[in-house]
Amino acid sequence: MLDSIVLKINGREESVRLKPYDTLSRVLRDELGMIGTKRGCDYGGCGACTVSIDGKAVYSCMFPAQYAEGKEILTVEGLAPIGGALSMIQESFLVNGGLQCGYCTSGIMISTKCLLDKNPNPSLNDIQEALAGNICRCTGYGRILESIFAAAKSLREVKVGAPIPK
Amino acid sequence: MNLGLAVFRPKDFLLTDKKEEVLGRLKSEGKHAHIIAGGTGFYELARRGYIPEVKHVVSIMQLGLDYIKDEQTGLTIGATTILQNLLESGAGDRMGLEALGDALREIRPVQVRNVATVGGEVCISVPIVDLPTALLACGASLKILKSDGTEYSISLEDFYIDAFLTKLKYGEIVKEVTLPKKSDEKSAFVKIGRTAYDFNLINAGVSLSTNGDGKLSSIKVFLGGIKRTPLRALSFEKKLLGKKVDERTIVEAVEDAFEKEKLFPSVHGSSEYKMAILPIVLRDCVMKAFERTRG
Repeated sequence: MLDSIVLKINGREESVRLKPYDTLSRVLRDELGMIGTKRGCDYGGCGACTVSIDGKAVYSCMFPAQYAEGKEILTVEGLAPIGGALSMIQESFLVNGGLQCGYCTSGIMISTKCLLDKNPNPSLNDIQEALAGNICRCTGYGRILESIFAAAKSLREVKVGAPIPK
Repeated sequence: MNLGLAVFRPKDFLLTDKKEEVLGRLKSEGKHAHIIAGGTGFYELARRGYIPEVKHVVSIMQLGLDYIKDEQTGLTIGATTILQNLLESGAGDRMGLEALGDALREIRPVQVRNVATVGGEVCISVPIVDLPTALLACGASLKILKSDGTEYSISLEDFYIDAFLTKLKYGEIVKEVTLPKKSDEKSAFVKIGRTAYDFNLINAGVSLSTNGDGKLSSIKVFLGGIKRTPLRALSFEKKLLGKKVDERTIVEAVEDAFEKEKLFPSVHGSSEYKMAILPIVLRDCVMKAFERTRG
């Protein structure tokens, strides 16, 4: 049995057909081809599939797609402004080496976005709390923390033409 | 090798605000229907191949059970209240409900706390979850809605039968959790997990009160992760009641009370390992509650 629902993803409404018990990550990746959201463990252990729903980070691999109807979904594809530029969070991860293989990065950047939207000046502990559900097996987390601190700083000091923080 | 990945193929997913339809489906389909709330527990069970018999997924998320009510008799929490919302409501800062706040802060990661529900944590009945232990320490009872529209209450202590098995019958749902008002008790919750964001290996919920000279006039201790269901540590309580507590008294009481116990082993912690960390968890938890009685 297939249902058709409308999901609002990154500000755009997308009509999707889904099996009723489909998770959001399956719909995003397999139905809509939005493969920026990664499939890692597929049951809430790694955080690679993290997306934002109404500003809150959730694991899309265990979130029924039907629950997302009528809510604002943000995936990594929606982080960057239109026109090829990167968002400050993305830029900061790039410049500060906050990734190696990159598989966990989309989830981590969404978690970062959800954190910084609520708390523009997070402490180390705040970041650790927000990122506890995102596992990275490459970086050792040091560069990720630096990237988030730098992103927070630059977001607080948004100025046109400001240099990218190192 | 069967990875259990292809087993879960339900026929439908009922998401409606019609209570009768939800309860009717649960009753008529019996073991072939399964309640879903937030979904974090449900999808994990499904992917691991634990619920292949389920053909009808029944969501209770639109039944309007997302509420926190402060009433004369105590605090009432609707079953589909999201854990993060409960944490932000400050419910865990109330007199006697400190264990609830402790447990909510210890349930990580935030991605789970943002969708998991109070009812789900209570009903999944696995030894590794945290909220039941804290709720038990706070004296929780449940209100259960039957398919004929009537309701009944049951204390949380009487609710659990075994792992994955509660007294909930087909066609019933947990509607709300009620926590009584406390005037003189303080509580605390402590857990040890494999990592800071993991499920518990062992957790403890304690509620206690003291008389004027600092001796314990009441104490209730619940433990999670050491048996298949939450356990009340009655003989441990008895050893502490009427005494002044300090770290040494507590550790000695643990050694006496649990001398010959076999604890529920998991892949992350054997019975022996859990026995080794049990005194630490109980010491920290009782002391934390005790410190709170001194303001």
